[in-house]
Amino acid sequence: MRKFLAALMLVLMLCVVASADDDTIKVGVFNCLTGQNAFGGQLELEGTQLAHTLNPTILGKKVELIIVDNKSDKVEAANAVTRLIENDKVNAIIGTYGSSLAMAGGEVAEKAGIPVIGTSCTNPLVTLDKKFYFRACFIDPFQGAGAATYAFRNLGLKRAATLVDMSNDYSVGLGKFFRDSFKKMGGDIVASLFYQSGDTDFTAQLTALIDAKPDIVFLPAYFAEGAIVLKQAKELGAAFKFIGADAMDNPEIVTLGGEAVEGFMHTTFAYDPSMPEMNATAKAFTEEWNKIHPDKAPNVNCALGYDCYIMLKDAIERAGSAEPAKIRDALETIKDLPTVTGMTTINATHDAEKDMGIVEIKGGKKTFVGIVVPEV
Amino acid sequence: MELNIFVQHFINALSLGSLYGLVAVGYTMVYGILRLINFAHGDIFMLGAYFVYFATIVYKLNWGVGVVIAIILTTICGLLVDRIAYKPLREAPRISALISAIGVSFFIENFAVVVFTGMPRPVVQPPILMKPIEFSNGVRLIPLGILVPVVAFLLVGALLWLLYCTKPGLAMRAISFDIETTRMMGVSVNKIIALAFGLGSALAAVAGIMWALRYPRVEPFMGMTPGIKAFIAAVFGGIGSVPGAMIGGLILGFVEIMSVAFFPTLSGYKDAFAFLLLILILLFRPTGLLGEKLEDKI
Amino acid sequence: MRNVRNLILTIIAVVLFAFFLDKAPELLNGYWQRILNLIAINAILALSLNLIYGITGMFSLGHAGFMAIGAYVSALLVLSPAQKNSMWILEDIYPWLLNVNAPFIVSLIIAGLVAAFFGLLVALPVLRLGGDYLGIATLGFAEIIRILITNTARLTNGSLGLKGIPAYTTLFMSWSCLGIVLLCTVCMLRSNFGGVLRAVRDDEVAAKMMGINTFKIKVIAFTLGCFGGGLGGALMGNLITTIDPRMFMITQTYNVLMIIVVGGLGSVTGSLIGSVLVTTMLEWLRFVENPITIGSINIPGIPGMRMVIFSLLLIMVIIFRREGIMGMREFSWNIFFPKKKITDVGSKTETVLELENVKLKFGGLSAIDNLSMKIKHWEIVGLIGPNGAGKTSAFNVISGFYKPTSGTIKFLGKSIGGLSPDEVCKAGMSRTFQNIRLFGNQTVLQNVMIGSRIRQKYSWWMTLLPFVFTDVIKEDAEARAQAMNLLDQLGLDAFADEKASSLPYGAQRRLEIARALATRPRFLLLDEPAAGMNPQESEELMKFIRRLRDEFDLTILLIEHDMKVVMNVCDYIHVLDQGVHIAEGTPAEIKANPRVVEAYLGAGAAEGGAA
Repeated sequence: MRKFLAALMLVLMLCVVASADDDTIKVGVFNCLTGQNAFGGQLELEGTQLAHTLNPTILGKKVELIIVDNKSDKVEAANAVTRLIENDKVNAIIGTYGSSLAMAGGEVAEKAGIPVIGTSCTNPLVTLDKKFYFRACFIDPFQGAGAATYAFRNLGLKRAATLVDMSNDYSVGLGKFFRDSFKKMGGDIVASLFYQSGDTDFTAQLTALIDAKPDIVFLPAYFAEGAIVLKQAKELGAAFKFIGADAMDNPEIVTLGGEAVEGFMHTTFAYDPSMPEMNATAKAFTEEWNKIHPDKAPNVNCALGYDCYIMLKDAIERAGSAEPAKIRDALETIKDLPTVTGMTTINATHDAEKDMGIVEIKGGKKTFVGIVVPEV
Repeated sequence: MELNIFVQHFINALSLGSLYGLVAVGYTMVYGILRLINFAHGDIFMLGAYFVYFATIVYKLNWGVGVVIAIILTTICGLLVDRIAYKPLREAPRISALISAIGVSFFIENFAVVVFTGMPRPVVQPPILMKPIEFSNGVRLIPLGILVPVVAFLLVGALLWLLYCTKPGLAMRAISFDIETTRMMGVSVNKIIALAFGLGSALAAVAGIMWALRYPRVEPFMGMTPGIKAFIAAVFGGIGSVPGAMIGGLILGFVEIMSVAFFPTLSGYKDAFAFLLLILILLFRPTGLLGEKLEDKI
Repeated sequence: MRNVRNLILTIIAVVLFAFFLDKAPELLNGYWQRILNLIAINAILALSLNLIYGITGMFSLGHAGFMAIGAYVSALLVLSPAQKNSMWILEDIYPWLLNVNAPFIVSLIIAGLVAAFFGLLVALPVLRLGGDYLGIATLGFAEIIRILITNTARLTNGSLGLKGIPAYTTLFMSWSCLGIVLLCTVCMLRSNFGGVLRAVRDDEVAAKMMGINTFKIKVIAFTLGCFGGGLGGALMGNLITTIDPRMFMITQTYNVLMIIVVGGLGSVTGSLIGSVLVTTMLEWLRFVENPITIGSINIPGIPGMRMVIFSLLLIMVIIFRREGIMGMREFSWNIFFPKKKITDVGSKTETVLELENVKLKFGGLSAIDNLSMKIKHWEIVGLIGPNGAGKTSAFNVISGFYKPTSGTIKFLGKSIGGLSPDEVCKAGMSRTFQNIRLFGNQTVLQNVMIGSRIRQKYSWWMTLLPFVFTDVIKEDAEARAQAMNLLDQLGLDAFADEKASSLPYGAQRRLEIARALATRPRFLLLDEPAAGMNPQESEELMKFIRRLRDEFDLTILLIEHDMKVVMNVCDYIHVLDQGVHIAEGTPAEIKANPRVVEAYLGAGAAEGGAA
């Protein structure tokens, strides 16, 4: 036991030797690298790391990325952010996938006065009453309305249903805003069914949906669950269409869902490697990504991870300083900044205002269909 | 509800319930002999599914070969877990082994995140199992939906035969009854326990493979929910009882599907129904449906 | 003297620590303050689960559910109406809830009370279950609670969770809460009531025979533990400042369980050490995920490594220290000082016990058939018969473990047929067991003191604050003195502070009798007191039994195989064979009875005539 402790102490001391000097800008990244949301957090981290590799210096100073895992757990998220601020003395923070984690970390950053840019935490509550929390993504009500608008106006469908993960704030929020917006436009909501995170069998809900005969079902699920839902729907011979949201945006959905995802649509941020016309930032991002990861295509999570870094860089450059308070002020005034996911403007509630895209799976490939303007 | 919709629900429930039963049978196998709630069962189940993924998708092996390899590898992993984490604790208080099982569960999950990453992976579904059979009234059934219950019932039958008609089975039952006396009778207890554990792991692998076929995606945390559900199913049926576990799984499947079928607006409460029923059953039968009654000896 | 010294040392330690906490905001950065906070909260959770599982022996997997209740209750009480108004974006909040508000401390108490109330609701039906079945039932309740929270969005904001909860959990707050919880727990565990809790864990059957209503004790312990769970959850919510249902999954319970097992199940000190260790370890291990440079070798950080290493460490701790760090031991200042020894009591009717046509059937099997007998005061009566004659069954019927199928049992003129063992005990009867059933993990003195619990007047909740309710201290001191006296009389005083299971066999038998005597019975049942004794020991036993009768004014019924003992010590003998009462009489009459000899010859144990 004593030997073991001695060995541990030695390792600890070796770790403390990490040096720090004034000429670096420290950017903390807290994201879910393990735990239930690891698949999303890992992609976003890779996006951020890519942006860092391409822009290793800001204002002539070296940027150091300090990465901590939040284990997809609230307590850990708060600890992780505290650690970044107190131990590593970061200037700004990027993170995280998962709104509840962002809320836990946000409170700590707020008190310490360190700005945070959220990657894909879309719950409206994340930035509510927060001076220091920003995000690179739009929020759930906007996206729910977007899916409803596309289904009702563009596709001309009148009967809709929702299938929602009751234990997921993202899913519940989107489902609610979809229903409200669809009804407001004059459509009918014929059924509203629920499941719980971790479920893998959706046949009961799907059979009940088949019974209700909707034209389209809104499925605000994570892609891993979504692909399984689509597969089972096909097995049961469901005749209705499905529309999802940005959490379905992952190239793996085609490998997971196979033929069953053909014709599936989802709203997302205005970026997809299949886009015919890309802005310069998006083009650069796609090329560099493909160089580093030849075996996997980028998705919006990667793009948002990248965009956070770009937004931070823009803010620091305009502020002319890496002081947290000044970065915050500059972040508030981001306007029409070209990012991978289109032009980004930060609005009064610190959410990104940007275009919403529609992607459809055609011929086993994600295809960017166009932009939709939600009727909120 | 129209009849055809009800029949469809019934088929769904049978398919889900027998899957739960399959996982629960492995669970109850280990419990019955070692009196150890093997919290790592769900994770061994996950390993089984991953091995199939690697065999069929990464190494592009034939599907049948892949399944056999996966079962063998999973069994080896299960035996290793037993050897390293449980065997030193055979004589220890049961809670120690339980915490060790939680440790193993954490370890396997996080090891999987490190090695396999958190990204969900697809699994090959042999097309022959997936081609839907459509009946005239719109009810649909995929061959896999029949295969799962068939495999489950066959395995339960085989296990019962093993337990009640063979010598090792007799030894296993003897160990679960009284480990010390069995040792005295000259049975090599460690070998039999290893056999039981290997069997439990092989069953977990079969369940994992079936699960991955039915819900074709593997990820490091896929064992968590089935693990807990199987635990419930095993308790429903009376933990330690093989047919009980199967019945428990079926009941659980039917409760989950039928609660959604009859009360679609309450589908968010699905799991609560299952737990409520479990507690009610336990109140009337404190050791599950087919569990042996434990008399406190005075 | 020793107690005064220990008290002074404790006060000094507490003051020093309070001083440290007071200065902590200046000494430590926010990160370390947060970890200190978490340690205190984890310790509260661990202490409360330890009370349920470690001390009272109920396997509960439901702690996360009670934490959730506490966290939500407290959060809903401390959030301002304006905050609530802006947070319920999906469904409207219940109007009455909007203006419900309470100060933080009040909210903590209410959180604990609501959790305890739910705990009580859960306990009443499910605590009848034993072992793993109890575990799964409590796990089920915790999950139901979580699902309810997810689905009742108007009350809880559903899966969106609550945020912006004021960060009231300061170091001062969390550590004072821990201080109070710790003080109450230690006081309770040190009182005789604490001994009762452990007795229920060690041997429920024997505890019942000590006149303890074990179900009630379990309900009390479970409810108290749930209070702690709710309190911990509330503090946690006010530390993290945001909560949602997914925070309270089964893994949360695993965490607490881990702490108490690593620390030592049943040890308060262990729970504290465990929470310090597990909390700091998890944070400290973060370094393995950072890139490490050793010399010229660069190891990139691997996400997930931390939990891999943590789980390996956990398995190692369990394998190499299976009892946990503290086992069941507790910290005491005495370990710093050399050990010293310490050294210091307790009416007539004609018929005491009367059985009339008592029958006991298990299914179709008849264990006792029409047993009738009368036992008079001051008698020592033997109950003999070959194996399987139904002697122990008769004991179990008399002492309330089995309900007679028919017939009446009168004790001191009152019918006791169908009463539970604890009620029978209160009526003035006590017994020992064939296979000794001591509370093995407790000291000899504690074992005996449990026997006097039925005569103590203070209520369990007074033990939480013994300084206020001084009756606790007074009565416990009395009980201790009486117990010491008993030990003295039975020649066990030298063993008073030894663990009961470490005693030699003969002493264990005597201890069991001492424990039975502590309930001040008028009637004592001895189940094979001479089993496993050599001739010399049984010689002493015979004298001992007579002395017992004389000194404690007892009537004694004993089962015994050793005919020498029976014939010498008993005034009167009843003989059973296959559940049937075949003979009774004085030892001389029994020896001459052909039916008895026949019954014994059949069983091949006819040395009855040796004496």
